Amino acid sequence: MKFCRQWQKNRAPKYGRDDDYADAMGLRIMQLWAEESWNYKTKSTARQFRPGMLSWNYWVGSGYILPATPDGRKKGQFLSNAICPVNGTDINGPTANANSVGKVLGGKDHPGDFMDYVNLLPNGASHTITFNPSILKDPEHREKFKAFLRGYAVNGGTALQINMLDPAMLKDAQKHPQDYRHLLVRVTGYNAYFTSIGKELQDEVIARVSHNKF
Amino acid sequence: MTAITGIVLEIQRMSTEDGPGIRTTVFMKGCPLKCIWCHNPESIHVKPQVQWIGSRCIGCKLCVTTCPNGALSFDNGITIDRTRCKGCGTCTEVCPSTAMELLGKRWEVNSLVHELLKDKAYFLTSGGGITISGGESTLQARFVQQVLIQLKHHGIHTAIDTCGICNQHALDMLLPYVDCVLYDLKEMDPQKHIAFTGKSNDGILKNLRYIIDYMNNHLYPREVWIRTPLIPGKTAYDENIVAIAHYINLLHSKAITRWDLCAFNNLCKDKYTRLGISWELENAPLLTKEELMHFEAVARENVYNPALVKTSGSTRIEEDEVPVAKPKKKLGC
Repeated sequence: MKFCRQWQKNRAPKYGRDDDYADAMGLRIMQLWAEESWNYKTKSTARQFRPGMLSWNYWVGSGYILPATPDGRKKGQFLSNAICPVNGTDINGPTANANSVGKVLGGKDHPGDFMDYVNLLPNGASHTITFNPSILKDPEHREKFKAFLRGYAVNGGTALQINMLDPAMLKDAQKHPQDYRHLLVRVTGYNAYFTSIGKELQDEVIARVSHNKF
Repeated sequence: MTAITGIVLEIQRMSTEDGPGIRTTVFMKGCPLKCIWCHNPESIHVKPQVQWIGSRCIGCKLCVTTCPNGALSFDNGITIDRTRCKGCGTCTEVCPSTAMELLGKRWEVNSLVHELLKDKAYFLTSGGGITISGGESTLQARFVQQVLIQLKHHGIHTAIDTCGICNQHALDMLLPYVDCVLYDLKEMDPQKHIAFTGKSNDGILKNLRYIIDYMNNHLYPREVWIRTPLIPGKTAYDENIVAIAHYINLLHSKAITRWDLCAFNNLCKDKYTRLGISWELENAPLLTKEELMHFEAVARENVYNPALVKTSGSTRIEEDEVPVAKPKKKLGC
């Protein structure tokens, strides 16, 4: 059983990695429940339900109610937040993560008029990505970050919330590495996953982020 | 004819440090140099290698029992007998928790290009593209050439990052399909260059001249970025920076559009541990901010166009620096 769960968690194709196979499955599910949602109206006022993916804080609480799931998640672990991939699965970086989201929202790979951007979820799909603050360190990098946001829209994303790494999150990543496999530490010409570097270096990175020195 | 394949260590998406714009960087396996400060020691060897990441291991020992060469043993952690391991990757196939990792995967040209085009939207919005790095990008020139040709068919901006050790035939194969060459000038003293990297810098300087000459007669490549790693106690001393500046002045080419000074970092420490190699610079301190600013000033003073000089990388955290408390803002939704 242990192997099986580990295999499901680590070796199965995952949504959030720009993996065509996994994203195609995500799209099918999205289409199914989006179509179903249009069949319902509120009982009291007969207003139309519109599909959207906004899980607020319920993705945390519901994790304690929903039994273990076939993606290798145990009962009690968090679900995925709104349209976001499950914590720690987006190991191919922010662009891959954003592309997966764009694909399950209905797919789009060219810039267009505003109608082109209406997708399966007209009620909105909130997406949170965490960046290392070094992405904003100088004007050159700020331009790159802006370009990322433009590309995000081009690829079909609709609502992006941006977090910057903070020391508390890094400390949590030291304690729960399995939830933070995606966390990249970025320095010149070299990237390392935070959870794959030793404790001593992790502490240094935390100090760096606390001091605003990256 | 069998399809040309290449061994790729890693594909790094949304790289912001390897050329203009948002880039996808392909790290090729294999490098002719053995720089003592190497940040990617797992890229030096040409063949795929296996590594064990302890923090992911669940101790199931499946890898030990399936290894066809009996190279693995478990004693409070996996030990890899490097003399027996052939890098076949059988253990990485059975490992349920990805603790056994294969460094280096064989790719076909078409599938690699398909993978690289996934971020095309971001390349277009940022002026970015693909950088072939390594390892050494020119070492698998036949494969890299095919990849570059296809990327050019799709209108993608391309760059190669090279240490400069290669024959000119390899350059002839790649240069017509490259927009930007990231070229390393690490150390100007040939003796020191041998001591630091294992090879003399003769060929490197010759090849740089060759590329500049080539650019005078051809449309591609469009520009060259010089990169110098600033390694404390090694390449980071005034004379070296001045000598590199003078060499750039000597070439005095409009082709050179940027000179990056890259500060040493030690984040790769654990990579050495995992590969079972001891690392000379393990405890070397990072440059201080003053040192980095000093070298930047030296470079600016001596190069013919100070605007070329850019610095990047982390500097030391000083003991007496007091963290500034920032007000916390909470956002809804």
